[in-house]
Amino acid sequence: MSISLETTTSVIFSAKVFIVLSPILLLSFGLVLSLLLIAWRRSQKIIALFTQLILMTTLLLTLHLLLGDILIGNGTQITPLLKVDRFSYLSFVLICFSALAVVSLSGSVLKSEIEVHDEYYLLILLVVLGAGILVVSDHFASLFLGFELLSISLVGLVGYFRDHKYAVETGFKYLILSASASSFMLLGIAFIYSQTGNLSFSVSSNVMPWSPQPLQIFNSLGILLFFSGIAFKLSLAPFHFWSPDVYQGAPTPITLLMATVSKVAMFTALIKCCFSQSYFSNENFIEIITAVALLSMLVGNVLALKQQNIKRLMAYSSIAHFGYLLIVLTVSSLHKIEFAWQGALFYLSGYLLANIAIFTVLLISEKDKDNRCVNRDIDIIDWHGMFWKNRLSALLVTFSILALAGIPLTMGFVGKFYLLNQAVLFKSWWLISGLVIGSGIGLAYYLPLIFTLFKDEATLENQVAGGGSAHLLTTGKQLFMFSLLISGLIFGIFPDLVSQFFYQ
Amino acid sequence: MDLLASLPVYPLISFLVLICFGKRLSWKLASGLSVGSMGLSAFCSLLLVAQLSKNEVNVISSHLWQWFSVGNAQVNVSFYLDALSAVMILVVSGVGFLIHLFAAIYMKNDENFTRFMAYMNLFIVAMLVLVLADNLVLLYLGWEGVGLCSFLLIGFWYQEKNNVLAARKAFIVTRIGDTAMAIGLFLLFKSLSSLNIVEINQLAQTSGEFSLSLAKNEASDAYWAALLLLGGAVGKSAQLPLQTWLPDAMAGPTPVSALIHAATMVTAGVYLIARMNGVFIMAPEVMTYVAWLGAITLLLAGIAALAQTDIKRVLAYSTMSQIGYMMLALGAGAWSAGIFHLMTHAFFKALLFLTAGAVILALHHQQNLFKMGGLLRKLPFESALFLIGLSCLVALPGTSGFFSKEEIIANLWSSPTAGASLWWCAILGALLTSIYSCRLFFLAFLGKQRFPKELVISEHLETSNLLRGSLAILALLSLSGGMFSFDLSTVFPASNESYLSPGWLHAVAIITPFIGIAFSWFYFKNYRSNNITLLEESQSSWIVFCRNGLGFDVIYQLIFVKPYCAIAQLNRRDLFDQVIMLSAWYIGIWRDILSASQNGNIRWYAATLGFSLLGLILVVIL
Amino acid sequence: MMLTFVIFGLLLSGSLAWFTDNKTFLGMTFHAKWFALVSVIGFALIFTFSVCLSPLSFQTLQIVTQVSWITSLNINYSLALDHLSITLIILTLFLAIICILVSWDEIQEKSGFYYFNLLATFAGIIGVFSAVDMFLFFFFWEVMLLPMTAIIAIWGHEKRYFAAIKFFIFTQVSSLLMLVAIITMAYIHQQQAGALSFSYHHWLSLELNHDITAYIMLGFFIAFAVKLPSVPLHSWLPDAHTQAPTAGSVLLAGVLLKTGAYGLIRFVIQLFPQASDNFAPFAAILGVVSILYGAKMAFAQTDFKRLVAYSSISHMGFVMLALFSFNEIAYQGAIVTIVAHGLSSAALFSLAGIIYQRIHSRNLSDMGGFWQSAPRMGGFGLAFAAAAFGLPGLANFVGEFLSLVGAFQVFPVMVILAALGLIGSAIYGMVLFQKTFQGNSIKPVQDLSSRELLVSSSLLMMLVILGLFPNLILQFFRGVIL
Repeated sequence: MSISLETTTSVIFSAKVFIVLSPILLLSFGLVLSLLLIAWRRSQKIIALFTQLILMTTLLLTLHLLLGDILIGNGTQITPLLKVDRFSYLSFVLICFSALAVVSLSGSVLKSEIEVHDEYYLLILLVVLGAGILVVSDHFASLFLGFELLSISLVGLVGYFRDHKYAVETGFKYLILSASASSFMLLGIAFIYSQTGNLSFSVSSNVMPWSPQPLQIFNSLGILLFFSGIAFKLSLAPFHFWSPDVYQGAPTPITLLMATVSKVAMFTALIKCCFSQSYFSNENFIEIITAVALLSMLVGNVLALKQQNIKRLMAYSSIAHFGYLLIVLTVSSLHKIEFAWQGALFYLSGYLLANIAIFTVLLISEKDKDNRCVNRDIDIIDWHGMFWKNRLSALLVTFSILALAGIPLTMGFVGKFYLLNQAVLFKSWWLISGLVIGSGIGLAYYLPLIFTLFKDEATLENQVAGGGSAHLLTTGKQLFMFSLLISGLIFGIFPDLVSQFFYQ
Repeated sequence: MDLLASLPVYPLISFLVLICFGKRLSWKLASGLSVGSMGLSAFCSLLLVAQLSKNEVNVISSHLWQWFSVGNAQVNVSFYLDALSAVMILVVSGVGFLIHLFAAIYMKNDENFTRFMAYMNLFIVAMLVLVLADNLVLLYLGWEGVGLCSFLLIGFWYQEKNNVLAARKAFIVTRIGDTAMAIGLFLLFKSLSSLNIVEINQLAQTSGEFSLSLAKNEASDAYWAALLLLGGAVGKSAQLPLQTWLPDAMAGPTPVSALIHAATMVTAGVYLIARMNGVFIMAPEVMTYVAWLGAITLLLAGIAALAQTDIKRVLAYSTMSQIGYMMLALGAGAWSAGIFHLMTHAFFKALLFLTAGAVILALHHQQNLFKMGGLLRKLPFESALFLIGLSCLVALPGTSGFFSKEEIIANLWSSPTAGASLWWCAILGALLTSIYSCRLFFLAFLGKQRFPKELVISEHLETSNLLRGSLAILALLSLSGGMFSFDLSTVFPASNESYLSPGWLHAVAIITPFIGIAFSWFYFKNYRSNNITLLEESQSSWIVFCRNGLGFDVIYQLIFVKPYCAIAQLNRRDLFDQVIMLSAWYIGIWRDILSASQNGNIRWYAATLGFSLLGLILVVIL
Repeated sequence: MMLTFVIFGLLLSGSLAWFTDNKTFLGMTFHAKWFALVSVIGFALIFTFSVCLSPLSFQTLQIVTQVSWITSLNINYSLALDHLSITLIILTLFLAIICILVSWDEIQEKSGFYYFNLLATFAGIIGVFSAVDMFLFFFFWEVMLLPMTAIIAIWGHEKRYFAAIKFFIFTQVSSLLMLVAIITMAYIHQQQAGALSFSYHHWLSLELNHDITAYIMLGFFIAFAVKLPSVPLHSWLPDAHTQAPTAGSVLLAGVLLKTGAYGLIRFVIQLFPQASDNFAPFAAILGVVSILYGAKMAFAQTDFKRLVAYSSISHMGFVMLALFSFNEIAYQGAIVTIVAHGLSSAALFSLAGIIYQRIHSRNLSDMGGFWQSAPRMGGFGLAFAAAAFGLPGLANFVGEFLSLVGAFQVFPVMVILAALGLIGSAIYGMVLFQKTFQGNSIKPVQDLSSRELLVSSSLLMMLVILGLFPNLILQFFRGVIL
């Protein structure tokens, strides 16, 4: 479809705009550079270092801009397409950070292959770029652009190791399903356009999206289709079916990428769209949100019960977590949006930390297991008694699981606290009960996982020394894990350190 | 530390010493300690009674410390001695001393001798606290304490399962009564806002709404309080309907039966009712209940006693019936008569039990009457003592039992709460008493010897003089106990002295025992005649029915015990828990269903995508 | 300040005990148990003295520490003390020493980590008893849960994982309800006073007349009723008690259940007098049902620890009944019952541990006739059983008597029903004692060692002292208006 821009306000690219947009620009510039780099010299090490460098600089730049006073008020509009504000920066920080983690973790996986994997890094950068566009987009067109960029490059990554067991199958699954999802989304956008005659989020108020017109139903349908497209990406029930298979099939760093980067970006875009269109005052939309949220909380948690494969377990738990997160979409009034953002971002960062931590340990034990047997899948049994062999990683896992379960001392608890505040403010008792029951069920699979870590290694027979025994850990990794643990603890106990960013 | 407060202290010290270093003490030391402490407190109680009778103050009290306070009502650990409790401490410490003396010899060869004496001492402590308490909570402490001691002593030989069960039964059955009493305490506090005995007795008279029933068809507080206290009394002193524990309690060593289940503890109920007379007077209908309960127990126990084959069980049932007499007296408002009988009964019943113990010891723990006989020739001294005891029991003129029982019977006819019918019950009871006493005596001491020829004289020859001495003193007391006169008018309201009852009553009352004796002389001829060699306890169903306590045990087993155990067994797995676990199971089922939907099948996934979208659209449209 | 020192000192010494366990520094080998014992005794002394010497009168709640914590939500780190919390904290510290002593020989492997968990639990519990910022309270409420679960799950008996998960899920779900209630209260405060506040003192000044108050109260009530525990939310307790190691059971029964009672007193009743007054009949019924049901279930058990667990359900029923009769006498009774049950159940559980160490079974059918070979143990067993069925002269009697007398002024019928519990308690007490110590002696067991003697006698001492001089506690709780 052709992107149509009614708003004729031609924006002069002023210096401010450059500065505001600089992280994205830097990233895309870095992409081009790395292409040139490949043309000049193909080397695993160099490309990896270069990618890390780019991401790091982007991260630092974004942080610098965030702390600086470049963004006053609620963001700066750059063409109808993009709008940058604190929150998009914050989520971009999260994205860059997790991408950085992914890149630095990928090394161990890639080493095991012979060829040079520069396109791998390129694809990751593309994913990040797509995510970046998503978080700053202020227009359905740009949103769709970022969306597609993200998903297509993810497809490439998911099936990256062609010779692996599930690679092709997983790639196809992801490709087909996400393609259909994005087509749904496109249709939805078309419907919305047909009603509002406008594709910008910050719609001019003369045409209220939910204005009582004869064809009002189309608008609701449009919103619904659009939402379901994103819900697919966020693997919310009932669009969750693909996620466990893809999680399991994809290479572990890519799973992490999907679990973190794409989800954070998608969710940010969703929030931006919903808030600026103020869908929350459309009771149809609230109904859908509530239904999907409840469904995801219950289905995700229930499915995760008795799950042995850790990657699948993470997939299910992430379903439940984004179910919880949907609570922020039910904001009561416009001036509560700040608070909703705060809750959402805090929860996301907690979720991010926990995921990165768990996947780090997962990668270590995967590599460890890979040396011994062909099957790279890590089951819970492989972490049996890890605490008594490798205290640091076991503590890290325990802590992250507790964070996912929302137990105090962790960011997860504070995030859950924010969400509950949100829900109480909106008096959405259904969501609250869903949250309570869901986390109740959740404990039934989080706790056994923790207990497995603490089980006595003496009790288990024929158990190979899994769980990332300490000798495999380079000091760098140990340092990384330790910093994860400490930062999680500190932010969990003193959440002000994080939430100070939310206020200028 | 004044004299009164020191009374329970001596046995307490002895108890502590014995329980701590029991194993290390020699027999001499241990027995000396326990018996000596008892003697000391007996001596002290004598002094106290002397004080009480000498000077005109009719109350001695000593306040130790404040236990706790219920609202504004103080609950103190403080003792209160008036004429009533004076009688009780005399009985408790005096008889208790003699029984300790006996026990020290009787139990000499038991491996746990010190533990036994320690329990006995502890029992005396609790009993003294019970009778001396100035408030109901402290009384309750003693009340539960004696219960615990009786539990421990019944189950003293805890290796036998039966003893253990008997102990459990005794404790739980009495506990039922205790609970009723506790509720009575709550009620008394609610309506009178005091727990002090003297205050309660006064307030009960003065405060109007206590005895006043709120609505006409609704009973007053006094009624309920008295009834609940009666429940406690009934449990402790083995009256209907909580009497079933007493016969089984004979599983304990004989001195225990003498001390606890004849002389002191079982009379605690009588003491309680006498103590709380103020409350009972306010509820005349309850007084009537008391009288009737006493009368019925008296008769039933008498009948049951007729059928027993175990000498100790005969005595146990006779104890029940004698306490029935006391209850009858209390119910009739003849307070002092009841207490008088309590004292005399303590004397002669202790005598009977101890003598029985001596006989049993002599016969190597043979308790079956039908395996005795002809002991009169073999053990003349014991037989003589036993005869004295029995004559007191059947109230032959001149004995202590005569005076007390006559006083009771005399008070019945014209009492407002009793009456002629109860008088006849009492007379019938006296008849029964004489009959079963004669049967007992004939079976045990007359007739042909029905045990192996070589009779072993008791092993403690060297000490048996001491043993016999204690028995002799008891015999003396029970013969002359009638002469003791004490004046309880300071404690009790003046009972109706005006005997407007026909003159022939006394005559009937006096000759009744002789009728009984004469009857049994002929009826039980073959029990006493020498030429009948083997004697079979009759197996006719009626006799067996009476022998087993008139079937109360069976009924209770059926109504209470079995259902409770059945419910307990049924719900061993905890219903609530299962319900909650059911939800877990339900979630598990859902998990299976959902995970079945995760079948890695891309067509299915795409289909679900479409369908779920459809579903959501429906949500929107509808 | 001192309180903070105690809490974090416990945590710190716990982790020190963990890291220095069985390590040798400058010639001397550290043992976690010694470290833990010494530090706990030290902190107990510090706390007691500083309370005795402090100028504050703890008749009302005195804030001892207040530091701003999460400014964005106006959450403070604030601790306060009054007689109630002081009593419970001292009980906690006393039982802490007992816990360490009973696990002296029992815990052989991973002892360092064990004592870390133990001390962390104590720290959390003390925090619960003293926190007056509701967020902080909830924080401690959850934090004390984690190490407790670890103790059950790592050092427990055969079905420990199941028990631990059950325990955790019950508490977690109920406490999430409480969290929702807390947040709602905070926003109600925002509506009335303008600012968000989690402070207990601020909440006391709210006037709550909305119908929503009932639901908020219920949120708190459920959380505490699970912890207490009250039928029908009790069923985590028998499993947790049975499967936990001895010290774990002592801790659970002695202190952890008391946090529920504490919460009922401090929050449910004092924050929502009106709502809880309306709710009182139901609560009283729950209490009575717990009394009778617990007694009945206890009688049905064949497992020593399970029996004691159900008996504590029965005892906590008295507390519930007493508290919700809003009567000063009953309130005093509840306080005494809380302390007395803490001691007596701790005693019974340590006895269970002592027996388990000898015959490696908790099954009553494997016991019997121990009096023959272990008279001392038998004596203590009798005393503790007597305490459990409320023998006068021991502390439990005073508590139950006061509770029932007080409650009788309000709910006569229910008290009469509850009094039946006295019979029930006698029955299970008899079963427990006789099946263990009487009957034919199956196998000889060795009598109490000096350490066990110390534990038992100190507990018995406390029971007797409090039974004869309950004013030692009661004097602090006169004239409390509920």
